Order: sequence, then structure tokens, then C-alpha cells
Amino acid sequence: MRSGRRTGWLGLAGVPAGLLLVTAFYLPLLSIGIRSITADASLSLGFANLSAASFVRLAEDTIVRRVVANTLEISLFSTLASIAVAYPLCIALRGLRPAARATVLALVTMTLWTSILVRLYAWTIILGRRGILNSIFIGTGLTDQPVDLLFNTTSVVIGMTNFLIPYAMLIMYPSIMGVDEDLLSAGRSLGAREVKVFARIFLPMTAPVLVAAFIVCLALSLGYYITPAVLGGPSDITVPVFIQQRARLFDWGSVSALGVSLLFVTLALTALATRLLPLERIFGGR
Amino acid sequence: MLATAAFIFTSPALADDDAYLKGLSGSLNFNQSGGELQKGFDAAFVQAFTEASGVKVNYSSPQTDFARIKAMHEADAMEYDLLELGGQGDVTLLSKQGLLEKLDLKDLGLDGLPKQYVSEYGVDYGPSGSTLIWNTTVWPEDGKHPTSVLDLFNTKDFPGKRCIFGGAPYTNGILEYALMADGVPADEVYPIDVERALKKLDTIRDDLVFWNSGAESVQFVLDGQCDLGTTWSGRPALRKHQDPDAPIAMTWKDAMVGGGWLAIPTGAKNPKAAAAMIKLAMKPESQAKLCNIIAYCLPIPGVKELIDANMRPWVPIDDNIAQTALAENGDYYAENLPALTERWNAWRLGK
Repeated sequence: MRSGRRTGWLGLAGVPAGLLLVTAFYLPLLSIGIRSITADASLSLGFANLSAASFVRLAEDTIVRRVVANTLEISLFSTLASIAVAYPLCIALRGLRPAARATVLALVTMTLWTSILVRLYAWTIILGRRGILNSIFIGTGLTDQPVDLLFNTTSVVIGMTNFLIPYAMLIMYPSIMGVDEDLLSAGRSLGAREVKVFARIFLPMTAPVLVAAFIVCLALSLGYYITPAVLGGPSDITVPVFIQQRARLFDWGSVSALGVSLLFVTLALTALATRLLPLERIFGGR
Repeated sequence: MLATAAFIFTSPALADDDAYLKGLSGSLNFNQSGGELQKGFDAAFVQAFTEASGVKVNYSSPQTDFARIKAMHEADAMEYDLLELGGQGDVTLLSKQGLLEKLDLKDLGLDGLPKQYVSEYGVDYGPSGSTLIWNTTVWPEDGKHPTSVLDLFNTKDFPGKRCIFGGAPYTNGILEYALMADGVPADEVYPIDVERALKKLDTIRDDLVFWNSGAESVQFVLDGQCDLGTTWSGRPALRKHQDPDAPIAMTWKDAMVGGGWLAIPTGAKNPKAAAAMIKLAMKPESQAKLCNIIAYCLPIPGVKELIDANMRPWVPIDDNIAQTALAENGDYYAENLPALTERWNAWRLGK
């Protein structure tokens, strides 16, 4: 941006992306926004047609409250779990030789190339009543009856975490690898113990990407439809599942209002995070 | 009992009259469930349709979201020419929104079909039963085993996990079965006493596992996710076809019969071809072929005789249909679905 004047023509390279964003994202988003504030959920934005009824209905709907609470709970747990796995894994990668590091990275990102449905059904084989885990439990005499590991909130969180880990890793990996080993050595040579080196040097240096990974994972999981639909139990209705259901019944007013609300929640989360940490520090700035 | 045996339907003499397949052009976009059903459509009438008419058929799957159809309609950009829908309720739901073309039933030779199978806006391409299957390693067929769909609620004789459809509270008979298990006669099920049905469902709530696709409904019983569960009657047939030793058995007793429907969306680019395809699909020969692949077809004259012996146990004809208890009331659902879905969700969430 600093060099904008000199390389202004380079901005043309952004035109295709810009056009795509406007037609495929902002215009539809605008139409959803309009539908959420018109009385008949239509696109006619006449003054007489404006209405907050869809939002009022949402606010008064106790089912929506439960659904939103479910969604937040599942998203938060999966996000924290994926970071709890990905962060130490990234740190461990620092200690590996480049070849071994590339192998681990490839193994993790490989899950991104596998269809999400295949991954989810793989979990049904692992977590099922006659699945791998239950076979081990029963075989080792840990339990005599199969444990219900599948089709509940736990299995949704497990599936979602599995989905989020590669994203969390790819976001945090460059920064974690980039922490200068000399700085850590300097800390140690000044007498700091490992815990202190981590807490005072490593953690602050990687905090921005931790937050970035948290935001991205939370945003991804808030809008995620397929995992709760496949791995969830009766009560695991999340906002995206709910939106799909209601859209099917042509209740576009409340669906739009719910979509807009979800968008604002995500934006608010991002805003909060960027207040704590400047955005350019999170997304690859200096 | 269903009065299906009683209706009179004169099957149109089509064998030498396929003039309606001439003079068509362009292509036809057929949105449907995909998977085994698509293979069935393809072999039963789509290939023949393309051969005779020269119209290329493009499949899309899975069944499209209704919101998408409405959006396409509003944007005046209907992508589909022919839709496969989950039942009469869906047809009514869409037609009330002005999203379906009226069919010329006379021209299609469908005006003699009983109301249960046809409306102004769509036609049942093949009814199925919402039946009960169980794992025969748990309850062998020569021992004590479920004998009615209502055994879904019989936790005393058949304890354990039970699978039901989780997608929506209709097309699978769950509310109907709850009421019947609670003592409501089959012919008094509609209008559904939802609270009573859900109260009955509460008695098996902790044992419930939800399936989301027909394939899952069978797989879960085979995998032991549940020992018994509801299914659509063609699904275990497919499985048994691939693996005759698969440990599943099925009962038609007290089942609900529903259908899969074909309809043409408003603004379809090639409605003439779509109508011709429906006409071909409803020929007894096409119907019989469909039945021999996926066990779904209309019990119209000229069809039954052509069904393979090994498929008959899975097809809603003869003894099977005689054992069923009721037909799904599509109009009831089209009318009540929004409120019903709300209540169903609340129940799922534990209220």
C-alpha cells in the first residue's frame, strides 16, 4: 500500500477477483440483508415495506436461542481443541529435520484433499457401537457394553476438530517456524527456565497467530453445516442446519435475519480480536 | 388396508405409439436423488428416452433445495427441467409457491390414476413403504423377531437402539407410527395429534439414532448402530441384491406408503421434453424395469406381471401392500409442515 503510486497499474490484477467478489458474494449478501428487513422477505425496498419483524421473531424464538447456544458451544469447543492440537504440533515441527517436517505437514494437509464426507464416515467407523474404539474397549475388558461415542455433541466436536486442525496449522505454522531460536537461547543464557522462555518470549511472539487461528477456526465452524448433520444426535441442531431447514420451508425472512445475525456475530468477533491485536500483525504484516 | 387393488386404470397402449418422443430438441436437466435411484432412472427410461428423442439428459443430484428452486424462479433462470421430489407433500408445497408447471394429465395418459398417485402438478413415479428392518443376527427370522413396524416402540420385546429418519418429521411415517403404537386407528391418524405422537416418541427417545439417507438406514442396522429401524422399502432390496447374505429382514405390517414424485418446475427451459420423459417413465414397461432395479414402481396393470420373483418381497404389491396400514397424506403435510417442523425441532432439542 505504501508503494501504491509507483505500482498503481498492478491494482488492475485485482479486478477479476473484485468482480467475482461483488457478483458472487456482496450482491447476494446485500439481497439477504434486504430480505431480512422487508416485511414480506422480498427484495422491494420501499419505505412502507421496511420491517424489523424477522429480527423480532428471532429474538423471541426460544428454539433459535437453543440452536444458537448449541452452535456457539460446538464451535468454541472444536476451535479450542483444534488449536490445542495444532499449536504444540507446530512447535514440535521446529525440532524436526526439514524432510521429516515436510512429511508431517503433508500428512496433516492431506486431510484437506480428502472429501469431508469420507472423513466424517471414517469417524462413524471409528466411533460406532461396533467400531474400532468400542472393539478395543470391550476387547480389553474396559467396558462390557458398547459406549455411545457417536451421534452426540462429542462426536460433532471430534469431527469438527478434525476438520479444523489443518487450517489452524497452516495459519500458525509460518510464524511459529519463524521464531528466532537465538532469541530463545538468549533468554536461556540469561538464566530463564524453559517455562519462562516459553511464557515470556515464545508465547507473546506467537500470540498474534494464535488469535488469528482462533478467529478463522471459529468463523469456519460457526457456518459449518455438514458435520453436525452427519455426526450429530437428535439435539445437535446448529444454526446452519436450522437455516437450511427453514429455507426449505420458504421462511426467507427469518432465514435472512439469522444469516445476517450470524454474519454480525462473526464480524464482532473479528473486531474484538483486532482490538486486542492489530489486524496487520495477524494477517502476515510486519 | 389400502384400497389400491380396487382402482381402475387403463394403461395407455404405448408400445407402438411413441410419437410424443419425436420432434423434441435440446437437452433436459433432471434433478434427482442420485446414487442408486439415478442408476434406476437411467436404465428404466432415461436411456430409452434419449435414444428415441435425441434429447440428451443431464443429471444433477442430490435433490435440490427448495430455496434454490425459488431463487432460480425469482431470477428467471430455472436450471432444471424435471424434478424428483420426496412426496406429494413436496409437490403441494412447491406448487403453492407457484414453482411447478401444471401437467396435462390427459395428454400424459395419467388421468385414470387414483388421486393418491397423481395431482395437477406431479405424479408418483413409484411408491415405497416406510418399513421396518432389523438385524437378523440379533433377532433371527426363525426365532422371536419384530412383526410390525410398530415394534419400533416395543422396547420390552425388542430392546436396544433404533434408527429413524432425522431429516424431517415426514416422508417416513414416524409421527403416524407413534400414534398407531399409542392406540390410534390408522384411519384416524390424520390430522396428526403432534403432542401425543411426540409423547409416545419420548418413550424411545434415549434409544434413537438418526439416519439421513436411505443408504444409511440400512448400513446402520448392519453396522449395529441400531438393531432395528425404519427404512424406505427399496433400500434393503438393493442391499440384498448386492449381498444376499446381508443379515437384515423387513416387515411391511402396519407400514405407511409414500411416494417419490416427478414434477416440472415453472420456467423450465424444455418442458415439452420433460413431459415426454414423464410419459415414458409412467409406461408399464418403464415402471417394471424401475421395480426390478430399485423396487419402486406403481402397482398399475401391466407392471406387476413383469416384476422379477426375487424383487417381489420388496415391492409394494399384493401381500405387501395389503399389510400396510395407510398412505401418507401429502396435503396434510403441505399445510402443516412449517409448524410441524418447529415443533419437531423443539422436541429434538429436548423441550
